[in-house]
Amino acid sequence: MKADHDSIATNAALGTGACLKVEINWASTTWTDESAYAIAASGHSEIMDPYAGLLSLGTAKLATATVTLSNTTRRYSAKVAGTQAATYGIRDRGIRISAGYAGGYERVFTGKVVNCEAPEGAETAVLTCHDLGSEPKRQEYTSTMYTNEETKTWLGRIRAWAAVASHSFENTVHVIPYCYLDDDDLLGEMRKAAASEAGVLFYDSDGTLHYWGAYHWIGKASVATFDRSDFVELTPALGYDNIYNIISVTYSPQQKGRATTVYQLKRPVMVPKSGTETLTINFPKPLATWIGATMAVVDGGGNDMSAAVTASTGPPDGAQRWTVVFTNASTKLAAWVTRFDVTGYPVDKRPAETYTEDASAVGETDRRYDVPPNPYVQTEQQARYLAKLLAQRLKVVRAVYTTSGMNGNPLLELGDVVTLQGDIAVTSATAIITSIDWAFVDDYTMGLACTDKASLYGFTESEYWTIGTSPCAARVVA
Amino acid sequence: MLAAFPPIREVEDGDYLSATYMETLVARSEWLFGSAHSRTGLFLQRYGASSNPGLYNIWEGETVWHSWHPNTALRISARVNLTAAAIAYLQVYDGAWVTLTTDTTNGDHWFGGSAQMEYDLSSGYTFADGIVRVRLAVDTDTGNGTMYYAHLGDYTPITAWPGTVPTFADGAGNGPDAADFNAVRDMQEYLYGCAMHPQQSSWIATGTHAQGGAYLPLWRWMFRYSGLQRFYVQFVTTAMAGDHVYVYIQDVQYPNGGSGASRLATLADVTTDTTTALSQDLSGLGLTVGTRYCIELGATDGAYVEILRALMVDLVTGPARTYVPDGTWAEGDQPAAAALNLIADDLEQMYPASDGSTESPIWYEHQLTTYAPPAAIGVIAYSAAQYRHTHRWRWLHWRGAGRLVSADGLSYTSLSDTATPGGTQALDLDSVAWLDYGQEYTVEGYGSNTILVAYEDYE
Repeated sequence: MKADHDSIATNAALGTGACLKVEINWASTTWTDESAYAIAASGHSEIMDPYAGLLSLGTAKLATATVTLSNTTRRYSAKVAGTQAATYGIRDRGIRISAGYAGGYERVFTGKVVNCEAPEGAETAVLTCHDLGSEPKRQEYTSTMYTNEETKTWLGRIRAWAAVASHSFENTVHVIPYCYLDDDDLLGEMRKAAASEAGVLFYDSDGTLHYWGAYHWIGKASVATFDRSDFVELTPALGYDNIYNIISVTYSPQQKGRATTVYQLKRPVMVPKSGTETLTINFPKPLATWIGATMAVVDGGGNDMSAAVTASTGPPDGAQRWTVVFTNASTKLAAWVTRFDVTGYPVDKRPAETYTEDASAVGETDRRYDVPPNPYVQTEQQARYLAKLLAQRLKVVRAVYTTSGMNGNPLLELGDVVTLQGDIAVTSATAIITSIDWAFVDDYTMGLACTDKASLYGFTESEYWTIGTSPCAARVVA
Repeated sequence: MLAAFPPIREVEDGDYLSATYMETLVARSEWLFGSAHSRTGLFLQRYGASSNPGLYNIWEGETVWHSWHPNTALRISARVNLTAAAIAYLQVYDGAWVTLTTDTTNGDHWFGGSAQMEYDLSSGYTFADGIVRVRLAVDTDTGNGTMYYAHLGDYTPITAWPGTVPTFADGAGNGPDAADFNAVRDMQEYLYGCAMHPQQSSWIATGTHAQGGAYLPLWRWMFRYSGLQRFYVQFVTTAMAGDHVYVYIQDVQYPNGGSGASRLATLADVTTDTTTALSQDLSGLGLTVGTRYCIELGATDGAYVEILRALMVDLVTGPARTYVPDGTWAEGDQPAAAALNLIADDLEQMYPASDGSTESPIWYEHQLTTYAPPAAIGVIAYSAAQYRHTHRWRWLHWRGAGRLVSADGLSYTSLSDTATPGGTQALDLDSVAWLDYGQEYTVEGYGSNTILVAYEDYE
């Protein structure tokens, strides 16, 4: 929960004096307050799909927002010359939305404009916005091989490649033996890495990228209590579809192979005289280590031209590809590269294996869940960790609470632990906010989806042993 | 072997201790302990004598060059006896033979003037084929000599052994911090570097000699003593008309090497046609842990000795392990100091202390594997030569042509030669369906095919 600097919580309880601020970063240097044009706004953010519950860890959807703006001046019509939208463009402009009461604001959304509907016959423009994850989602990247990377380190690398400045990553548990990207989208890869530890990865309302591990909620206390005076409806739903007592995690062991020829040219490549030829080669297996390359070059008559032609020096720009530039220094003869052998240590994928955790009790019906394959789950240790964790969490039916008709409170954040108190359907529940829907149309309202925190961990939270804090003691199996 | 030493992260203060972390930590120790006690062959101390003044290899051997591994000092101990114009060379192959030392001193002496010569290979060499190949040769005139040992050593670890091995204590105020756990991890990383070396095979054959009325050694095998070890040799003796076949244990450079170079014990004296299985507990012989020794097997003339197996193994009672860590942890477990101390103490006992102060030292040397001797060295004759392995690593390196044969002789896989005979080759042993890890097998020639050298490595 964000710090309350402007008595927002008090005013939120009253629900009066709601205010909205919309800012757009037109010129990529300064934020322009567009609040005077704002008519309405709404948004949705989540750290896990409320319907898939814990099964969707690591795969949070992008937060979205929709803003309706007055467009009587055609300010947001990109096809009208001289307007703000025409001058700067509207798509991909940064946008941030704040809400609050009595002139006190807190940010509820930070992202990019991905679409603007400003029809001829309407005097409004509707902006569709996605959070900052929309940028790395569109970025594809190719990397060299990284070995024995801590998941957090690998997340950090991808984050750096995505040029995400504001971030906060918790420590991770595992080491991934082999990591690389091959034209992979950066957000997707970060999500996979997060999912490999049953963690969550998301952008918060301020635009900060977070990674939370599976232990994130240990010791997290409730930050707010909501009762019938705060919501119109509180609906508990028991996720019977998400009960599983047998969890299978498939992992793909990988191993550095022996030095070998990992690529051979299959056709002659012509290099024009005094020119260059670029060839992007794909290795059948990713390279753990590049050793070198040898080539043979002739002219059209078969005469050796190796003295005239050079290839770009290694190592390759990617674990599984190499963009090689051949340069022909001859001013008279075109050359043909007839052999280009690349040697290195490939990474051999071994047959996939499965770790299964059976948490079923005697007499229970088996309900099996196969965790989707994840390229970063490569060791039995990773698979066992995932399987045990999910089996413990999914073997009990977990309540999902949804609230509606609440006064909006911009201090609340995804992941906050809250207490929900009803009179009939729910007496009291401690739950984690997993998604927030908010809307501002004259009034500022919100709805929450929360997952029950009870039995999220296998043991009393205080019994979890903290390195650097907890003392050794006679071994206790909780 | 695949993922047998799982990676583990460095923890930080504030992290929750997970069962996965503890189980992985112990799993790494288990693998290391197994490495300390792996069944291994013995280095063949090869004797060679030239009969012509041309170039003659007294000894040749090789191992894999791992660019990541900090074992970069070549250490050899050799004795040569050169006639008037003879020149002895120690050379390493790096695209061409490069001479490390030239020795022209006449007579019987230590090669290079020292009982141990050392060469830094860390720079100036590429070893493009990934192999360090070394030879001791004599040229220009006749000479003979013996290579007592040859290995890559001088282990400078990537991860240093911690200055202080952590000690854990129960109770408030004694809570271990991340540095303590990471020190344990560092101990494992250090020992991992020690354990990652090619697996030594034993060169065996049928041997005899024709030196009338004399005893001659047919095999001299070198090993570095680890403590609670057993030497196992199985051999068949035939044509034993009043002959003796002896097995001795002796100082590594016997009969040279100064005042301490002596025979230490007679392990066997066989006088009949029979099959002998000698399972010798070495712990009662007064050997010093960390010291290299030689086991010599020889015969009086006329006797034939067919070696079936020769290797170093654990005691019959199994390996000694004073500190046995618990490898089963559950989420939410609170570790007792005793359980953590078991892990640290267990690792401490694997430190390769040359003073013999540890129970299961993991020697870090990359032993070179001696090339097969010729069928005849003077009066000594060998036939049916083999390299016998206990399968541990995935890749078999060999030169020459021959085949892999299962210990029971029922399965085999052919090994072809390179286009230019004698080139280095490697076989993925995972592709050999009949071969399991831990199984014994031989690499041997047949017909006109000859295996020059064979050993296993992890890549």
